[in-house]
Amino acid sequence: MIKRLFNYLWQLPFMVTGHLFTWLGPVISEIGSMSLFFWQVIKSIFHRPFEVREFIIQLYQVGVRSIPVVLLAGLFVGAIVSIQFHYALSQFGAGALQYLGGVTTSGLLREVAPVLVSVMIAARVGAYITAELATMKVTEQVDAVRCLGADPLRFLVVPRFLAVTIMIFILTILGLIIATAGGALSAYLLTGMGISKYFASIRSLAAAWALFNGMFKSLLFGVLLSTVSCYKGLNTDGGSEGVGRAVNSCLVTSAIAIFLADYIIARLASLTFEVAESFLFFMEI
Amino acid sequence: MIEYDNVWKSFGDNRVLKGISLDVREGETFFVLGQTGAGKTVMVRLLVGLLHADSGAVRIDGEDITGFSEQDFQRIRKKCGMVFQLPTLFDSMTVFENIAFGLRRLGNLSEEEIGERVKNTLEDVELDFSICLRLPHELSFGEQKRVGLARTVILSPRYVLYDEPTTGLDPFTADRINDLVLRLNRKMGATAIVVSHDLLSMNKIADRVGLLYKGEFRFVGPVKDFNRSDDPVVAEFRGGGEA
Amino acid sequence: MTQRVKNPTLRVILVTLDQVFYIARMGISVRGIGRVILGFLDTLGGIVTLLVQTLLNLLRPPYRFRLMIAQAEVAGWKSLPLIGITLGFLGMIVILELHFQLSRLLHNTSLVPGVAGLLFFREFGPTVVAAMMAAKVGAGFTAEIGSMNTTDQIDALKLMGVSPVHYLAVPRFVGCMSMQVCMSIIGLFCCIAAGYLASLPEFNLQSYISIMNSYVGWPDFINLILKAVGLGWVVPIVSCHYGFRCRGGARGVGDATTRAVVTAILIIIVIDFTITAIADKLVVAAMSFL
Repeated sequence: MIKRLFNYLWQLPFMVTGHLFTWLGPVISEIGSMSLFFWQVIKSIFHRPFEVREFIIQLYQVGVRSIPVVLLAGLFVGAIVSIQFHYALSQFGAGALQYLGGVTTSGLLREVAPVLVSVMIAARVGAYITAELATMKVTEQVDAVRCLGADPLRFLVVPRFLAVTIMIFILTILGLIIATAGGALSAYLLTGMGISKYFASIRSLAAAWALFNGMFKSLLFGVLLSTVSCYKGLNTDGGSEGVGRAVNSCLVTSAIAIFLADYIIARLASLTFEVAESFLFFMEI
Repeated sequence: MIEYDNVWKSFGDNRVLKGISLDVREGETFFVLGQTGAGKTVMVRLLVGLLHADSGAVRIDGEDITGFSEQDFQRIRKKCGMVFQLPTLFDSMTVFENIAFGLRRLGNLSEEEIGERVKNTLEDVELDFSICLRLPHELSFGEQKRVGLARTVILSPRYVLYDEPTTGLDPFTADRINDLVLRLNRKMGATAIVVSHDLLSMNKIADRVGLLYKGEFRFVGPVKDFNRSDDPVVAEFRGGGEA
Repeated sequence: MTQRVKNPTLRVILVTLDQVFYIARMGISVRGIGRVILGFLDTLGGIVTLLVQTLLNLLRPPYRFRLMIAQAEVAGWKSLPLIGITLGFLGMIVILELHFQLSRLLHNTSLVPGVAGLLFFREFGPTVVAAMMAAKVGAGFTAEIGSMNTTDQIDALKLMGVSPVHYLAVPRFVGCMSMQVCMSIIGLFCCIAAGYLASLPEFNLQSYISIMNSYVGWPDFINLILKAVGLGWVVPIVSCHYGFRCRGGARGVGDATTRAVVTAILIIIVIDFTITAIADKLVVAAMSFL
């Protein structure tokens, strides 16, 4: 009996490692395939003919129809961030509270806006693109596209890729504006802080560097999201359940990819942090 | 002229095509019969590059397409068109856009010319021009099949591959499709390969027949010989009707 | 008119403008706006109705414990990796960002774990966990129920005298609510652990925990549980709602899934805002009673 327990115990690390690698293998190969796919898409962008009509249709689908979602989410999240920071700052005493505007906006610029907009778009557009492409693959429409003389990458993927990337960039800007407004409004309505006081601290704390940081992130997230959703869509098999599985997989993978990329950029930013800090310090003087 | 020369194709452990060899002559309508899953669709997909053979050679007009890349197949697909089993119309486009799709890819026709050719093709497949602005999911299955047919035929390919054109249709509509296929082949002077398990269609429109059984061609020859053959498998196919 | 323009670049520009105006005209119209408002009200009404129905059906026998546990497994166990990974990264990101912010604001980064702890407990624990669950679990439920709908299985249930709400919605509701609370707590730990890893060069375990301890108190934990309960119902109800209303085959299922996830996340955000705005006052009031 004790012997059996011992047996099990010393086998455990091997089992765990084995399971880890079994799980890890497909994940790494997925990442590899997606990178290859990404490279092919980039190459296809520069092949003529460029599908203008499809591109414009996708811009509308992705961008214009996501505006209400981004506005709503941005407004409320801006308010939430502002309230939370208010609570946090009030722990430090009244002196810190005047910086509420700056801290909130800086946080929004660098972190919240890109991630929030990307996650909303991932849920709305990413899942939709995956479902659409997966359905097309499962009903052989992708084969039909090839048979009729078009390249699925050029006709289907490139317009969506570009539309998503461009639109996430634009929508992040929109989201930022509305979130800042939401933050200011909630500070005013809930804590009585004057709006001009709110905006005053923004200049000193939220530097252009933060804006650049946030915008770069949004572009990166756009690229990641479109690659993942198109890849998952086109590589589906298995009928209706396959479509459902592809959508699920797309959402999960995009979420993980977005957060992972966010972390990497945050790390990189903090590495160059000292340089940026002294640079900005100079700017303020 | 289409030739299959000792073509093998497997999916994992499953050997679907075991060294098939076949010649399809110019202008004829060749029927490929077989059980569901016997490899008929696989065979046809090799011709347009949707699948690639493991070994052996496939030749179209003397040209060996076995090693061709996607790029090369673009050229082949202009002369070798495929009509899919499910209509596989593009859901997000109107009927007009679906049919005109291939034409637009050619890139050198004006809008009027495209409209003209779509109109003519719709007449050929016996559909009313008013169907143009509707979306695929608004059409009946028979209408969808005919739009799928129109979409391929409008490019006037020299070889047309039909994947189970009458499957899932009631006998009346199936008959009309058969007539259409016959008429279009004659009109375009095309060579047709029809994959099916519909014996009635075979008797009506085929010149020669091939029976694909367990990955090999059990029988290849004129329809008359097929109907008179003593081969037990052939007999079972005839007698049992569908596979 | 675009036919007569020979210059290809100009032609492309004209075609583009043409399409843009066409689409713009499509987007704005009184009917369109009216339809949007009605659609919004319809969805809202449907969700509230389903919520009420689920609550009413909650205590009705037969109690399908097996189903509830199965759904809890789907909601909790299966989403554990996702929650762990995303909240782990989030924890590290927050620490890094706060490091940056506080050093510029107060020129003093010793309080980073404290502020981070506040954010974790009050915000990231419940909300982000709920959003991730909406993405994974919600999408799964909608797809599942949507497929059942399009293959007439829901109708079959009704014919057999089984209420679809009782059979499908209630187990998912119970499973998700319980798992939401568990996952919020587990996610919280992941955040804290990952945050510790990220703040390693500057803080050791001792100081990390003690600083966090000094800033985070019971009110924040109650806040967490309150939010988890307040947000837990969103994912199952919204996804079941869209699943039940799904029409149109594979396409319809995909469509419903997308809308379900988006709506769920939006509702989560709005409820989060509401709770955040009034929570402090509530908790203070509650604590003063005790």
